[in-house]
Amino acid sequence: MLYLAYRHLISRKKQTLFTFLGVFFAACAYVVIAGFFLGFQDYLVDQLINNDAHIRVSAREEIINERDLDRNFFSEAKHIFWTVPPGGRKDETKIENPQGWYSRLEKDPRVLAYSPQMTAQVIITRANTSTTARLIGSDALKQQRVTNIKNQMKEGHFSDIAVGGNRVIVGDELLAKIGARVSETLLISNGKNTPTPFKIVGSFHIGIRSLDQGVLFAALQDVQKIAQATSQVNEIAIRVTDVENARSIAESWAKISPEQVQSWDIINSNVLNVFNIQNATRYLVTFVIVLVAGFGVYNILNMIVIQKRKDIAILRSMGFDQNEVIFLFLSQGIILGLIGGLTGVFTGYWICRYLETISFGGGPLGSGAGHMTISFSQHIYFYGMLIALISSTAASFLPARAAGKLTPIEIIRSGAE
Amino acid sequence: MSIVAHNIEKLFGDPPTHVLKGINFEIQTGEFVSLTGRSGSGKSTLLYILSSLDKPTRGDVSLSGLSLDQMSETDLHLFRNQKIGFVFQFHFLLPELSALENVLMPARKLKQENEKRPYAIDLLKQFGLQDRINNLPHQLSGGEMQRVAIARALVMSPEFIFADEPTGNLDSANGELVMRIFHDINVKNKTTIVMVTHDQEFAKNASRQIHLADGKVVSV
Repeated sequence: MLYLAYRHLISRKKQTLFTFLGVFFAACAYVVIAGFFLGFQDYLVDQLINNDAHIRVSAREEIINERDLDRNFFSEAKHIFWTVPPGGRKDETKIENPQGWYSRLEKDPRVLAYSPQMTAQVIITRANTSTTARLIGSDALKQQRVTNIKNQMKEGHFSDIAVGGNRVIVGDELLAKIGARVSETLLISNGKNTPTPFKIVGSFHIGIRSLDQGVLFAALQDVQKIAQATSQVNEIAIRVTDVENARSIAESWAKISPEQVQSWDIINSNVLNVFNIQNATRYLVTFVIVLVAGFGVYNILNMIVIQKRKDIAILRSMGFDQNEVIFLFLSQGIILGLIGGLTGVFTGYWICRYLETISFGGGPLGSGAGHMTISFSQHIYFYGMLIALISSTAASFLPARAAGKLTPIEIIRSGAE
Repeated sequence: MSIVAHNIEKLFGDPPTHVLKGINFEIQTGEFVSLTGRSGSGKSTLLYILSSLDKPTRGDVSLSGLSLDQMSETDLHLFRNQKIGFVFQFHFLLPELSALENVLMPARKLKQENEKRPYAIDLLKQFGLQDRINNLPHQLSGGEMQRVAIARALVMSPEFIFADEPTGNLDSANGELVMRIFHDINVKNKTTIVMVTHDQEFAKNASRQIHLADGKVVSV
């Protein structure tokens, strides 16, 4: 029957071509759309995972309530009434027991590396130009193990800040914004104390604009001095062995510590929510593609079954059974699905290769990868083939079943010619 | 007995029309029988019931001692493939296949196409189609197409040939050629042939006539 199915297909060149094109475009469009969307998502997730900690432990910003200071001032009193009740936020936010955290993290086999940090909002000044930025103080060697910053250096080495001595590494966009260059000096202040001169020893480009134009790195002890918080840390950045487990690990730690413990996906939940909308759009487009391709196959095969009634009659009279007749038409759908799917995903692959070369979001002050990021995941090609096969097989099933139900005597009596 | 029809009745439609009424007859192995009668007498309906393509409302048909009613669907399809050859008024050739490929089509069911190929070519040669072996049906004349259809019916060396007005669409020269082929098959291969025809001249070629009128056998 496969032989006859093949002969049917090659004898109806125009109909076969149109059906093939429907499946071909469906598979091709799926590969390109999925490649584009998933490539974008993979790029962003990669940026989020590799450029920041998988888990971040942060000191809670404590709000002072009316009764919080009762014992501090009136430890013996039973009834305390404030004329003006205390309120506001505690001046310093710090991790209460950093040593306890270090001990816990060093013992945990799920933890690959951790880096204690002191983060402060600062004002940086160069000549007459001032701007605000986030100064992150860390142990350079530990920080390099937690993020990918070592590989994102444009000038200098990240370890240059390890020795301290008021050295700073600045995001390249921030550097351009204040008109400074490596080896020059910046004045950094937390707004309460006298500005301290810091020497620029390097620059980095991560690809996330908020970091490239708003972050500086310095040694932990230098930032502690600026923040007037000697020996304190307010964040611990952690890298785990399996990023998939980051959320469950963070949740388990959050239950046993007063600090805020958040995994990368919670910190970036707004970005991941956008992915959900993108995925919904992608699924909708895929559904429409499958529907259009399926209807193409269905319409043409349905027409062919009507045209081939007398062939069905003679085949049945020769002893071919219902299943063999179903197979004759079903196999045509499967053949078209296979060939259309294979050529579709193959063409889709080369279109994706081309799209990858298109410049996108680059430039001296731009961010992003500098070109379109396309996913070449095997899953996309597998699903592209599956969509082509399922749509064409499902669409050919109904006409094939209808053909199988025809009995030779009905066709002969109806005078099919 | 080659073919036994026992008390065959056939009703069609609602309200039912009695097309065949109590048909009983026997056909011996190697007989060439023509079914004759006026239009609407039920001869084609009877042919399709005898050949297993249709089922009687009541009654039973036995071919080579096997009751069609008792056969499973699978056995019936195999029986039809190996023991029965059909020739219709219209050739019903598959338009995508050449003359030879059409002839070999029944052999494909049991993957015997290579084994049957020399015989198929021989049949086409016997029928004067040696130059048409690789032609597609639309490249053949009406008579040639009907000869290819007869070769297709014979390729599995069946015990029975059922023919429904095989000359109905042919001119007299081609009609006579087809009748001669049937006669030769019947004589050489001892194939049992049942042929529906309304042409009395062609009916006379058969060794026996079964005449129907108003759904009943009038003469056997």
